[in-house]
Amino acid sequence: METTEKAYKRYTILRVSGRVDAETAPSLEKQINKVFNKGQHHLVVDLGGVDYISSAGLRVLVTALKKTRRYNRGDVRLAALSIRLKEAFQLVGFNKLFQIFEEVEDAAGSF
Amino acid sequence: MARANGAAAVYIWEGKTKKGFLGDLFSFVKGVGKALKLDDKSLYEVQMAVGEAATNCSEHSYEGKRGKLQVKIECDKDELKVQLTDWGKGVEPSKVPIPRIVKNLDELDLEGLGVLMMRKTMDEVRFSREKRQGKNKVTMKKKLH
Repeated sequence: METTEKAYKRYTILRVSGRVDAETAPSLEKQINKVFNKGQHHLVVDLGGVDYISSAGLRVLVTALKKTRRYNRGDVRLAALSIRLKEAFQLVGFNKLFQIFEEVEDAAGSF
Repeated sequence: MARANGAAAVYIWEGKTKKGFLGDLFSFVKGVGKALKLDDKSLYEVQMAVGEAATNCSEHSYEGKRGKLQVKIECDKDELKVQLTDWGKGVEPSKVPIPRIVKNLDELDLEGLGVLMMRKTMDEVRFSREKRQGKNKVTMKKKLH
């Protein structure tokens, strides 16, 4: 799994690629927390390059979502999910918790 | 990847729950899926179920330590059977959490999420222990359409 961070004034885009499983999810969590620690709680997670996400990966994203929405600090918005990834979110009902966009630009523009 | 039986297709993976083992296991499942000509969706779901079950073996049965894991995939014409065996402390089958889907973020309990994914992607999931032999098994079945 690899992540690339692009910080803008109003939001940060975190592009994730590869497999997010129990072994790689802690690294994703670390990257997300790095963004939060800079005081940015408006986060777009671009999942366009992710070919697989496990429960550990979903847990990291939901935990991040909880942190941002606490005290209305911001939000985690997801973009560019493949059909398989969308199905993974739907399986456990997480598609209802997140705002999910087809395009990264639309997710960014929503902030 | 070993195909151990000529009649029904049987594939076996054996390894240790060490760093990088999930990647190896995924490649194995992907190879089996291709050999069996599983469609993309079914293959993804089987990968997901095996990945979650293997993670549980590693994290709970072996408590993060190295341990032996065997994954056996059998396929006849309309059903896929996946069995994971570990020799760790196991998980009491009756204590496996019964997860539920919630719509509200505040009432979300993330414990049991992996088991929920296994149950959602497979038609049958069963946890069992063979105490005398010190084996723990997760048996999952999926109907192929």
